[in-house]
This record gives sequence, structure tokens and C-alpha cells, in this order.
Amino acid sequence: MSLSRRSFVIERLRKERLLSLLAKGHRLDDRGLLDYRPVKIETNVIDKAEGSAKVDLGDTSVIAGVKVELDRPFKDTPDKGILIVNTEFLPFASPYIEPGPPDENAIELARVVDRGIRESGMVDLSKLAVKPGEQVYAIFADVDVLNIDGNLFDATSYAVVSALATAKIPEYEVDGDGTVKATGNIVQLPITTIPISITAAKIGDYIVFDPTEEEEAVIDTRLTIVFSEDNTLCAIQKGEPGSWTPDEIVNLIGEADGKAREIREIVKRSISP
Amino acid sequence: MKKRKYVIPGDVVAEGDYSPGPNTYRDGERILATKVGIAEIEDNRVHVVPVKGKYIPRQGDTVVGVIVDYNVLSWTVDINSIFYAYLLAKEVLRKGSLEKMAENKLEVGDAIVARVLAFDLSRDPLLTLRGPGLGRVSDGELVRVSPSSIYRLIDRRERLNKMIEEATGCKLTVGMNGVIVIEGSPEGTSLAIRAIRLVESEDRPDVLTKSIKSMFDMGG
Amino acid sequence: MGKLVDEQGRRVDGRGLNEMRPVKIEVGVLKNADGSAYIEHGKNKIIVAVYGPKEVHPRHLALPDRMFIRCRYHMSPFSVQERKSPQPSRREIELSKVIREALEAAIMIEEYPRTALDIFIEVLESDGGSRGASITAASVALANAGIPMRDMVASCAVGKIDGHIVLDLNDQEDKEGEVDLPVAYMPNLNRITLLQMDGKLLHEEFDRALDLAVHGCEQIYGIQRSALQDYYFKQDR
Repeated sequence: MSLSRRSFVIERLRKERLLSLLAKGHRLDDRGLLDYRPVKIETNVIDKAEGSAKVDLGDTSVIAGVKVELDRPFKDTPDKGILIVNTEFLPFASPYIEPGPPDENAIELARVVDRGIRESGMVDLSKLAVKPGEQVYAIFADVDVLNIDGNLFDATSYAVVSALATAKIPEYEVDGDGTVKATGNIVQLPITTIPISITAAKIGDYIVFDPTEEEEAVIDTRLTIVFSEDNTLCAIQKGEPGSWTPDEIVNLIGEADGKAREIREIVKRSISP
Repeated sequence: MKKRKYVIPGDVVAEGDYSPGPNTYRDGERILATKVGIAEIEDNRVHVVPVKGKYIPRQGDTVVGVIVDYNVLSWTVDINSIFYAYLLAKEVLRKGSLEKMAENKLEVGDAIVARVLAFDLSRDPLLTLRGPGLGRVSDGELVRVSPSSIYRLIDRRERLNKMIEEATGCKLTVGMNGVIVIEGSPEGTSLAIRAIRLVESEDRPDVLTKSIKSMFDMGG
Repeated sequence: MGKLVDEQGRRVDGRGLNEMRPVKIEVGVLKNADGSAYIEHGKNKIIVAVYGPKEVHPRHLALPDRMFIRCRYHMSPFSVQERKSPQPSRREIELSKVIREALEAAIMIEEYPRTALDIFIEVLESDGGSRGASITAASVALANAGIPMRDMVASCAVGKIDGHIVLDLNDQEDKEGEVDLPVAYMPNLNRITLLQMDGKLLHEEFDRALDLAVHGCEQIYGIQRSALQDYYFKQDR
């Protein structure tokens, strides 16, 4: 059952100031409408994980850990590895979080981040079947949301992408008699591209990128677009009630593409050894 | 000059210098419908008479409700609306009459005829039983119809409620919330119910009056 | 390549690239609900019931300034080839959310503060595009319940199969095709209330796909309109 969102109440005065600032091309934190907050990425923050990354997008903070196991493949993809993205809002991430199993927001977040990475083909899953039909790599990307200040989609996506790109996994081989055993080598995941997620929100007549929690409390609607490196779009998700005109979406994608290229440079710098 | 047309939500009812009435809204130059119904344009005012919708209480309306709960201070009444209504104890009890109080004691399941004392969307409707014709329903049968058809039943020109009362010998108490109390003989009651169902299903006034008349000529 | 679209541009079920599957909508199919609708879109068979506006239970859930909307998209265990567990899956939880948001964009939630509105969607048999068919039917059920709306919401998907941009994917095309792009649209306001995509599209392909989706939604809107007209205004007239 999906319930109407109960957001925190933003003071009327603050909202009015936000709207009048937008008209002048500014935001409450002095950013321009299409500016991102500083993106800070730290990789290999958890030694026990095969890959990990902590991302701070302004005050939004998430940590992604990648664990790799051998497992049986899914029935419909016997010759491919498995990739699973899961997110959890830790109870201290905001005063509005109720402890409990992942709610629709956490589930949507995980599924949209998963979609962008999967559809971009970032991890070449066909290279992750150790013994096709029997033993494949299962890659679990679990994300803990530590602090919420808006735009979880992008922060979570950057964290999972960075953790996957820097993960180091044990290499396996199949013996002559068909048994799977570790070679003792540590290798990288087969990474083909770095997908970048860009989130825009509409507040009145204005479009902003990377909304904060405060802005999300007053937005009409939201759009997350994931760009691959080969000039394609690989996932889109509209969120929140409210609507876009077709022209707004087409124009927005052009703007967002440029922004994705900027942010890809930041991510690439952070994940380079 | 009155113009009528059938609309669904989002249909443009009028364009230009009109003022949007109930069940319409303005979008730039256009006035759009928000419900399925009949759009009526009179002079420069536009509104839609919905084919369906819940009863929205109005101060002064007579309503028929059923007691669903009570506490020390009030009764909770289901008035077939978007909210339950409340009947405060002081709107029921008459001063200095303890016997009357016991006699009038309201219990869960009792039907009442009440008047809407106060209502706005930010507060639950308040009812009163003080006034002529109000109080507990001790006899008769409750019929529920769509609230929008009540206006056809009590239309001043056609006087269909009076016509039904005369033809069936029953007394009708019409709640604006779409609940009607019928008191009378079993045969009269069945006939009255059939007539009320006809009023509910037929919204053309001329055809309606004719069919009601012919129904009573045949059956009553 | 060429397995979903042949040389003549015919698809596996014989349709052309821009052709919609047959769609049939019935209004007021459930007695108890305040509003209801049944849709057959291709092999999708979906029933939608709406209750409200009504008292909110439990009461503390009521919102002071608007209607409280609950939406459940659910697939019956027998709706798919292999029995589906009746427990809501992660997919169903996400779809319940995006469907609610797609409809909430049209509903005038500020007209009935402190009330609740329940939208129950049951997929009895599923085919490609069940979320779109659910939105299409839910919008009709809301109109049937007399819920005030800015516009109808019509929905359908477009996609890319064998390199072609096509309208309205069926189950096989959805599973084996390259891209699925469901859209919901308010035709009189020219506004998009649901947009999702998975798969890869060039910018130019996306623009074309979006355009095709809007045209598809306009066709669906025509079917919604005649379903409501037949139900309300045609009886012995």
C-alpha cells in the first residue's frame, strides 16, 4: 500500500524566501539553480568489504559496501553473474524515519539505482559466470543511508558506482574435474562504463538540480535521469505527485547531460587508483 | 440563456470571460470540469452538476443519520458523507425534563432526523435535534439514494415529493444527504420506494414528472 | 535481430510499429465501491476499486490540508505463468508508489482535507504494460466515484525492440526488447505524470519515443471518454 507523503512542515516565511530567491536565480544555500552541492567521494572505507564508498552530497551522506559470493545463477540467466542493490535508511538518518523493514521510499531508491547501473551495462555480468549454469559471482551492493538532506537518488547511485568500480574480488577457475577453486589472485570487476544519475526538481516555474531536503518539501515533481558514457540515457524515474510537460522533459535532458559529464569527471577522479 | 452539455474531468467547459462555479476550475483562459456531469452555462457563470458524489454538509440542511458511537459528551452520527457528524448532548436534552431524557435516549443503530448546525471543511459537522420535525425516527423505512437526485425530489415547481406522498399515503422525510424516511402502509411504502428509485435514475425533469404520474395511474 | 519485428515491420502479434493492442474499459463494475472500472488492455485484465472520500482510519493519519491517498497495486497469484506469492513484491511496492503519484497529480486533494481515498488495483491477468493499464482504469474509477480531478490520466508504454521505437509493448516484447518506457499523461493539460525508463536510448530516440507515447495516451484517453459516456449518458437516450 502506497501512502500520501507526510513531509515535514516548512515555515511559510522560509518557503516564501525560497521562492523569491529562485526568481532571482539563487537558492537558500547560495547555489545557482542548476548547481550541485560539493560531491565528496571516499573509496575503500570498509576493509572487510570487497568494495566500498562513502559519498557526501552536501549534508546527504550514504555509504555503499559491495560483498561478493559464489552462488547459483538465476534460472533465466544461467550464464550471467548476479547483481543486487539494496538500501536501508538507518533510523538516525533523519528525525522522520520510522525504524522497520524498508518502506516504499527505500525500495524505490534501490530499484532506480539498480536500474541505472544494470541498464548501462556498467558491470559486464556475462563475464561473471565462473561455471555457467552452476556457479556465478553474486554481487551485493548494500547501501546505508546515514544522513538525509535531499537527493538520495544521486548520492546513492554515485556511492554504488564508486564501490563497484573499485571492488577487488577473488578470482576463481574451474579445475579439470569440474570443481571451482580460488586461484589466489585478486581482480577487478569487469567495468565497461560509469553511469551518472542526475536529479532535477520543479518548484513552481523553476527547475533546480540536486534538491535539498528543505527544497524537496516544497517541490511539485522530480525527475531522475541516468546517463551512460556512450551518449545514451539508460534509466528515468519521475517521482512525487505533480507533472512535467513533454517539452520541459526534452529540454531538461539536454541540460542534465552536460551536468552528468561534469560529475562523471569527479567520480572518475575519486575512483582512480 | 442556459446551455447544457455532458462533460468528464478535464473537459473544457468554457473559454474566456466566465467565472468558474462548483466542480470547475480555471486553467489560464479555459474553464475545465473536474467531475463527470452536466455542465451548465448561465450568463457568464459555469458549473457542473455531478452525476455522482458524496454529500457535503451545509448549515441548515435537514439530514437523516444513524448513530454509530457515543461518549459522555456527544453521539457520533453516520450521515452518508465524507465525515461523521457529531451531536452534542446539549443539542438533544431539553431542560428540566428527566423523564423526557430517558425516553429520548439515543442508542447505537438509532436513526435520527437532524439539522446541520455548523460545518466547514476544517471541522466535523455538528448536528442538532432542537427544532420541529427533528428527533429519533421511531417508525418507517430508510431509503438511500444518490445525494444529487434529492434536488429533483424536492424541486419546488415539480413537487415530486408531495406527489408521491399524495399517491401513496406515506409521509416522506427527505434528508439532503440522500437518506429518506418513509412512513406509511407496507404497500404504500413499496410504491413510494419504486417512485424514488425512478427519480434517482431519470434526470430529465419533464420526462420524470410524466413517468411518475403514469406509474401512479397504473400501480396506485 | 529481426526476431520481434519482421521485414515488413510486423510485430510478433501482427501489429504495426505504431499500433496499440485492443483496449476495452467498463465502468462501475463493483457494487460496493464508490467507483470502479475494469480494463482489458491486450491480455491484461485489471479491476480497480475506489473508496472515498471518507473518514481516515486510524484518525491520526488524516492530513490537515489535503486528502490522504492510499494506493495498492497487487498481482493475483494466478495472474502470471508461474504462481506469484501473494505477498507484495518489491516491484509491486514501487509500482504502488509511482501509480499513486501519477494519479495524485490529477486529483484535487486540497478539496477534501482530513479525508481518505483508497485506490485498490488488482491485476487478474498480466501482460506487458500492466502499470499503464492500471492507471488508465484507476482514472476512470476515480471519475466514477465523483472524485474531483484536473484532468483524466491516460497511460501507455512505448519501447524499443529490434532497434525500432514501437507503441505498447506486449509481454514478450517487454521481456525480450531493449527498452521499456511507460508514460502517463493528462491530455487536456499536456502534462506527464508518470515517466520511467529502463534500457538505452539515444537523445533523438528518446524524443521520438516520448512523442509516440503521448500519441498513444491520447488514443487511450478517447477510450476512457467513450467508456464514461456509454455508462452515464447513453442509457436509453
